[in-house]
Amino acid sequence: MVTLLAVERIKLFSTRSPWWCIGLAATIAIGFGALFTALSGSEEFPVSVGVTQIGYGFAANVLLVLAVLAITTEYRFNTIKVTFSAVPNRTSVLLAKTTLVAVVCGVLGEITAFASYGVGRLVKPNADLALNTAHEWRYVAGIGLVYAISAIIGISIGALIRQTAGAISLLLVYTLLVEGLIGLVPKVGDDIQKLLPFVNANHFLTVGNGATAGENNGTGLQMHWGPWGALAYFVAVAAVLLVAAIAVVERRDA
Amino acid sequence: MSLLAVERIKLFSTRSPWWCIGLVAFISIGFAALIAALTDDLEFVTVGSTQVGYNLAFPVILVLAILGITTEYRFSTIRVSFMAVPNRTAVLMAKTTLVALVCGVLGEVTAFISYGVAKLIQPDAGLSIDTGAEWRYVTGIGLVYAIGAIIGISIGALVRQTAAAVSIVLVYSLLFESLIGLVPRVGDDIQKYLPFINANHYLTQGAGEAGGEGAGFGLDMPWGAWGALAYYVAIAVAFLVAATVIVERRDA
Repeated sequence: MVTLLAVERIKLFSTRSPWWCIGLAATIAIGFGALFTALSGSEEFPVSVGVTQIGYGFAANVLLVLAVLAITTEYRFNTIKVTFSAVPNRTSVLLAKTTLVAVVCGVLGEITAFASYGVGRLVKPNADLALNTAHEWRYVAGIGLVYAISAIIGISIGALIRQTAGAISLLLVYTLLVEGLIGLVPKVGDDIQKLLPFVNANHFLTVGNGATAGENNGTGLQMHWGPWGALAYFVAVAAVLLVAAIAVVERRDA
Repeated sequence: MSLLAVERIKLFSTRSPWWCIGLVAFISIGFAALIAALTDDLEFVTVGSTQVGYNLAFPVILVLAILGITTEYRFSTIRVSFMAVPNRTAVLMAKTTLVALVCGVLGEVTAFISYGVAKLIQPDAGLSIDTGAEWRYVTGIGLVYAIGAIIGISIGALVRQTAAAVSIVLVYSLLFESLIGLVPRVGDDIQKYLPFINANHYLTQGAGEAGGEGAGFGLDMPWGAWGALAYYVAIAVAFLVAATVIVERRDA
């Protein structure tokens, strides 16, 4: 397993796209946090810990792309065949890859979250930006967790679809558009929206942090669960997708 | 003319455009049917509400256009194309014309079908296209798709990598254009000048809230509907010129 992890680490970091994604995600998360914090402070847009983290959703999409690419490029360049020939146990290959990408995204999330927070404090040294409630801690420290679980979803979708363009389009259109627009459907829209994975991930992070920090995505939904229940649901969705991906990868030709 | 035929054959002999076209039709018509079928309040069934699904289908159009050029780079067929026709500008123009035409026709067809399906589902809702704003919304979808396709082709030609171009265009159009409005103080002023916001303004101006007017931002737009369209076209042309210049200069 350790060897497999090392193999996946070498494969991932010897291509340029993950570096681009990592740089972009960090720039976006920290840059947006700094921008919003610098321009906040008015009556309707007060400074808060949540505001320093507001770029997380933007950066999360870049990390989804990173996760998708980690598996679809293997199919594109046929290296997946070499990998599976070398290690016929496909489940362990996929698990090693998922673990590695999730850890990378998780660590990156923690670093960018605390860096965004630090930059926010530098930008507004006089504002009350102390991390002194559980909600604030959950928002800042939870970003790595959300990124890691999103990465699992990205890898699973990538493994299921295998084509870079298809997987990226599907995931981005889904996260950026379907999860928001579904709420417009009369009658059933809200009930569906409450059960969507990224809405729940956002709920986990933002609940208790105020509307300007992105609480409830501005949709004012009555969620089923509290923050930890929402996180558990998000994890469950990711686990189901991962199991589906493993089952399909085991069965079909590489 | 033969260049157009060449591009048509190249485009339709791969599977991805068919997938995209099917998806666009399914999403926009399905969304119209869903909204019409599930609404109790007939006030909410307007000509505009039959068309809001275009927002969901539009990103797929952009993906179709990007793939139209980036797959040529990925499979190196662009070299063969440029060897056969050394006038690269002509190749790019033929491709852009073809893809824009396909997307435009697709937009018109899906817009009128969406309207027709909603009318069948809610015959009592008084869905008739009788104001200028309503005509503009329904017939304008094809126009917005065609111009969006020009932007997609241009970005695809500039970036050349499918994954990067698709990510950039989708994250920009779906996330950046709306998130920028959240920036305190300057956000609204920037947002007014973004291309897809203007395209949406062109379509939805006068369509009411159910039709997605102002995309929920309540922006004070600098132009009327046709001014917004002209601005959107101007941006697409600027991208296309940039793409043509760069494609002419660099190695294929």
